[in-house]
Amino acid sequence: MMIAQFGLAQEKCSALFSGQVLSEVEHQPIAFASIYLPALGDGVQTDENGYFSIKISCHDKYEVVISQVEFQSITTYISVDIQNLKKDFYLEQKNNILSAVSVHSHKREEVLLSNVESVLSTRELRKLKGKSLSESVSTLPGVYNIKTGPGINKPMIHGLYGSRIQVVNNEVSQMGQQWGVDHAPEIDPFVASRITIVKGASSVKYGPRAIGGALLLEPEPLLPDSLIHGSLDLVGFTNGRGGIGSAMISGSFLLNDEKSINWRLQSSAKKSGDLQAANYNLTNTGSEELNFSAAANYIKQDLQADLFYSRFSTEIGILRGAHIGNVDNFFEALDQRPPFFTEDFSYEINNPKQNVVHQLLKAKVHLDRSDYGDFDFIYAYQQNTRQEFDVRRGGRSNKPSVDLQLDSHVAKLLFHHEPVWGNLSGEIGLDYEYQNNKNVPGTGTTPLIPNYSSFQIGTFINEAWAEENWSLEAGLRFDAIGIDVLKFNEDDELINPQHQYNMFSGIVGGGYDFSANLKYKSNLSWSQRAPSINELYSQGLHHSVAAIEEGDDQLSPETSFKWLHSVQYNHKEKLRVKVDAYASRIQNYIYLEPEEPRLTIRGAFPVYQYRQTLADIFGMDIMGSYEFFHHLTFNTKASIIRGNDISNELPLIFMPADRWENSLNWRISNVLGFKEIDFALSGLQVFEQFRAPITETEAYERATVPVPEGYFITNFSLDTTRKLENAQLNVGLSIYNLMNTDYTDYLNRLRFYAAETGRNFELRINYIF
Amino acid sequence: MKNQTMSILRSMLLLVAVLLFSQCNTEDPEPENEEELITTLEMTFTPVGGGDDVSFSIFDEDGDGPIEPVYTNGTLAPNTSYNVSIEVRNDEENEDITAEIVEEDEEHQFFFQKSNGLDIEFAYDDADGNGNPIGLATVFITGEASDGSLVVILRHEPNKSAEGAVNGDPSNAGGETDIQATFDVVIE
Repeated sequence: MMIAQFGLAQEKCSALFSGQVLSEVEHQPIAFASIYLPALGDGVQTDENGYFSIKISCHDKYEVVISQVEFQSITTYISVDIQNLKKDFYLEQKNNILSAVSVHSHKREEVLLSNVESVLSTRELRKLKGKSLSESVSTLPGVYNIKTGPGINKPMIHGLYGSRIQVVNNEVSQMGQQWGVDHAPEIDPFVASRITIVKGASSVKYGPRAIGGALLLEPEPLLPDSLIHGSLDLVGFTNGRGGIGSAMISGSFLLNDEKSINWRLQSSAKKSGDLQAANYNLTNTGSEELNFSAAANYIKQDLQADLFYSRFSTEIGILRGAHIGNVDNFFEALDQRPPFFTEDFSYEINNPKQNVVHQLLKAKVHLDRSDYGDFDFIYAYQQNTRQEFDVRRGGRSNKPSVDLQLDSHVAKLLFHHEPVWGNLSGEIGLDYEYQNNKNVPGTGTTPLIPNYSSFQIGTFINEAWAEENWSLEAGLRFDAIGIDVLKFNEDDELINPQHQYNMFSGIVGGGYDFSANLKYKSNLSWSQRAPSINELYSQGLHHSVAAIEEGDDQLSPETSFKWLHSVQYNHKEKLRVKVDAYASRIQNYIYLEPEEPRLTIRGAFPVYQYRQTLADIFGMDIMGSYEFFHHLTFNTKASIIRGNDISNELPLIFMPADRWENSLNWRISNVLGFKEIDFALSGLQVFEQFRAPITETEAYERATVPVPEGYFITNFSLDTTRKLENAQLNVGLSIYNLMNTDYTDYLNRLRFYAAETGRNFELRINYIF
Repeated sequence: MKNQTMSILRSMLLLVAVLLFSQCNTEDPEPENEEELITTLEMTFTPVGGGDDVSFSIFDEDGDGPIEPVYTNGTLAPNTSYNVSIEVRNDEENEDITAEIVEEDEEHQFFFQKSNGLDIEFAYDDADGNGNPIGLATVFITGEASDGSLVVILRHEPNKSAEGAVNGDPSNAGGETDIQATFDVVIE
């Protein structure tokens, strides 16, 4: 899908000026960047992999302007003698201090205005096609992956997860049962062509649940194109003996020069059997997924109307050996390797398992009024059904133990105004959310969370003032939520508790460029989050941890203050360093506090009650790279995080251990018929979590549950790109856990029962036309 | 143009109004009975040579709930053989769970652990379809006068062929504990 435009008058002596445009720090290729030579009044665009070439006359000095909508333009000079000139350029992301606030809308805006005609896929996502959403994003520093066994992955940003992170899929807040640690985001990663992680508190833009950050997934923009385009992905992997297939096709009906109707269909399917740890099979960890999406829009000069539907469905097996009864069972399982119930490899998925279906229907209208701004109206309906099956007695195993249906409606009205008084631009918006959760009758168990409906309305404003080397931004938001609960109390009487919370959030931030090589930005945010339904009303036994969790309906909202800094330094386009440091203080931080163990006919159980405390979380993410010589790069990423429960003078539980990843990347171009071959060898060191507080189970049994030791794993990948006529073929091979290391991770809730997965070979074929 | 914009905005607002105010309220939950609730285990010791039955029981009306289980303990005679039968019930629903266990006998087993001071021996007196013990029927033989605790455990889906399982030791058998009762036993 190369969009090179050669159109230069031939000179007597001409030279080929070529190279690649890459992003700073991450060294990602930048597609559709324009290379413009004002002296010639002509230029060229980079292709999908950031490459460009243009013929220019030699013996001359030129001014070159390199620009792309999402990046800061640079102007530089080149001199061309008789030889061809090869040069790479690095662009810096546009100054989005309130990345939380500004990135999303700008991108959409600019994608529309620049009328980009094709895929804006990133190289990284292509390499991660075999991974779950959370595994993919956890390759970014500061983002971690919480697991419940190998099949259930949930993202964590700077120590916060679940109800404290907002996943925004295709501009719509994801409405699932996100409170559960073992509830993975119900999203097909193949729909997204771009995933953005917002590390700062982003409540102002994405609502109170974004108190810990946001994860934004965007599909490819759907734009007029006279050709039918599509892509086909096939992924095969040895660990799990599984495969993934995905297909996408898109096209347009061009009504006239100004009007078009555009459509896209996409589907993906996955099947995997039991995964394997280094030394044994992980029985009942197979999974299946079947997803479908359809998108259509109507584009007119100043109007765009979109319709989108997606259906995600999955069945995930949970490690059989992790299903236990009481504390004694827990300690017996702790020493048992291989785990109890380990059998030979199988594709069968038995209990315990989860069946989840998530449907999204979205309608959007975008109105562009170039004189004063533009309007967006988004409405979305989501239905999330979750069934969890346990190992049960008396032939009840085919009855779900948890059967929840969550219906939600969200509506958003957004006005983005054109710059006023010079450089002040911003947006105001109105958000509405309605959720209705019901327990589908017939489980034969006491519901974990009650039936409820909630109604939330919010309004916000963000404004930014940008000058050449500094900028200032500020945002404010107010939300009110009402929750109406219907449940049975201990005496089996129907009760109807109601809750109402008001939440404020705000952000101020700014950036300053000391020079082209040294840049600083910072923001201070405060956000409030109402307690989620499980924190208020959770009631019941969690089988995988043999613990009883109890909500507290008297909880008040959490208030978080977070100060985020980011410094970026470049030296001679060779050395790049970026440091993000943050400190947050959370008042009324809601956490599970161990209570007196409870004696029952089934033995003793630790009881955890939701309580509130004052907590501090601070840390640092460091990224650096050094280019030894052409396209041989050393990259390093390190993340450190500390969390403290100030009131109880204890470390916070479930905080990620320190980690440090180093990799060597080597890219060669135009050899053996390949446009590009990319090698990467990486080593990840995760240290032991020395600051894990003692758990109630340990205190009760006076027996320690060891915290996982530190571990080191290596990964290798080889990616190739071949250009075909009107198409592109990408083939990649990865080997994860190259040394087949036997290790456990602190952030895996089933770490007590089994090790992490062992070596895995993965082959990825991606064909785009 | 402006009129068109306004009319679109107006229709959008109308749509919002329709959506926002047409929604239903929280649905009434249907009461769910905790179907797998076990409230009661009763262990009856019948002297082989005749005499009165001795009964031990545990009753926990709310299962996993906060109400603590109530124990009834008994006194056994020294140097006596007892035929012991176990009955499991849900007294809240008048449900006999013993029958469920018999039906799924290969998936269930009772285990017995005694404290060191207690002079008592036991042997399984029943078997499932695979010839492995279940434990609904056992034989207990008391020794000299002593006292101590007897832990009775019902496991769901244990590995009956694990080491020690056929002798009543659960530590290698895995599975999920459905009942764990600790009786105080006095032999005098």
